[in-house]
Amino acid sequence: MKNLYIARSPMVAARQLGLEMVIMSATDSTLFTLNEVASLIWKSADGATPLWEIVNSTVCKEFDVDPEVALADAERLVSELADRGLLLLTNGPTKPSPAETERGL
Amino acid sequence: MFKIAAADAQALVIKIGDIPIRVFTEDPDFLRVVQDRYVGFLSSETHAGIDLKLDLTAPGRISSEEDVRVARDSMRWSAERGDFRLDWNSETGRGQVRQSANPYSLDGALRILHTLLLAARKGFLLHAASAMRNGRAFVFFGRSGAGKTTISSLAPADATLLTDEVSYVRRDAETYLAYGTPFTGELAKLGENVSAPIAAVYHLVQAPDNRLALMTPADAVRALLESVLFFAEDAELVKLVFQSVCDLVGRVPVYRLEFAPNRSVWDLIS
Repeated sequence: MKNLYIARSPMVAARQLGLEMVIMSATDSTLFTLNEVASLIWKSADGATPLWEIVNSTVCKEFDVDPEVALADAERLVSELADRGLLLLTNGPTKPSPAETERGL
Repeated sequence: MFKIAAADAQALVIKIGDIPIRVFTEDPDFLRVVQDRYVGFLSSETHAGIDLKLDLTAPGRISSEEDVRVARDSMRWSAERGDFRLDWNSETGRGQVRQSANPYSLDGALRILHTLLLAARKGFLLHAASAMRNGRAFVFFGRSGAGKTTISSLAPADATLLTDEVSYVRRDAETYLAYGTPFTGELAKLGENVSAPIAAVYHLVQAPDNRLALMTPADAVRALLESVLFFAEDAELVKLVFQSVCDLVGRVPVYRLEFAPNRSVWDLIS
């Protein structure tokens, strides 16, 4: 799972409301709510940054948590969100990273 | 006073929420029925932009659909319910309603058409009562039996009823407006054709005592979305409605209002 990349589905609408992220599936209007930690991962799901890097740079930075435990929890979360059609999971980047975009690649 | 011009003897313009819709029929008797039904919401505008031809049929079922079913094929929308079928082209603005000479069927078609029109205009229809007082609008939503009709009937004499059933909510610059609608509930009384900035939104819950509590934004969005009237299974419009509800919650306070059925509840509404 080292090379797991996550991207938000284009078939959802999401809005940060307070500490929670409220997500609506545009296909069946189902509503989901993410807590503060899950919201951090959701916001970083750019299809360009590997999940382990997202966890290290957001969750581990904000919360006092073991990186391996945090990554395992994050993998379970994104798998569940993918099952519900909210996230797209791939084994490689689907979009250029911010650094590549900056270099015009 | 509204008059039907001779050249448009079989057409009239119904203007709800500042969106005029011109309705045509070859049946002058039914046109008069429609005119009576939407009194107060008729406009003298001749170029409505949105045209609906009423194709009247003999009484009976038009569709096998019990619930409303809305579908889209590119720019062509269709909506079916047992008593009517609406076909409408969002590019040309023209469409037709196949129904019997029953104003309630037209009412259903107009509600659905307005949900589509509003989604693209940062608005939505809400299963809610609303009233205007001192130039500000107050919206009361909740599931059936929550007390929308009750709180409307308890309103002070200086309040103007916008609707006791379907509230018309639409963004206007930096605020949201509530418009009066002719869509009635148990009061069977048309709302006044006026609008005002929404001062507050209340989630109605019947209780032994009156109590007001500010809802968290996430709770407010979740509760409001349960009361939004939207039937189209169209991802882009669903997203727009979701964003509009979130935007409203970001601009207007939403309260949980527990209330006993007495007039003192209006002391909490300001």
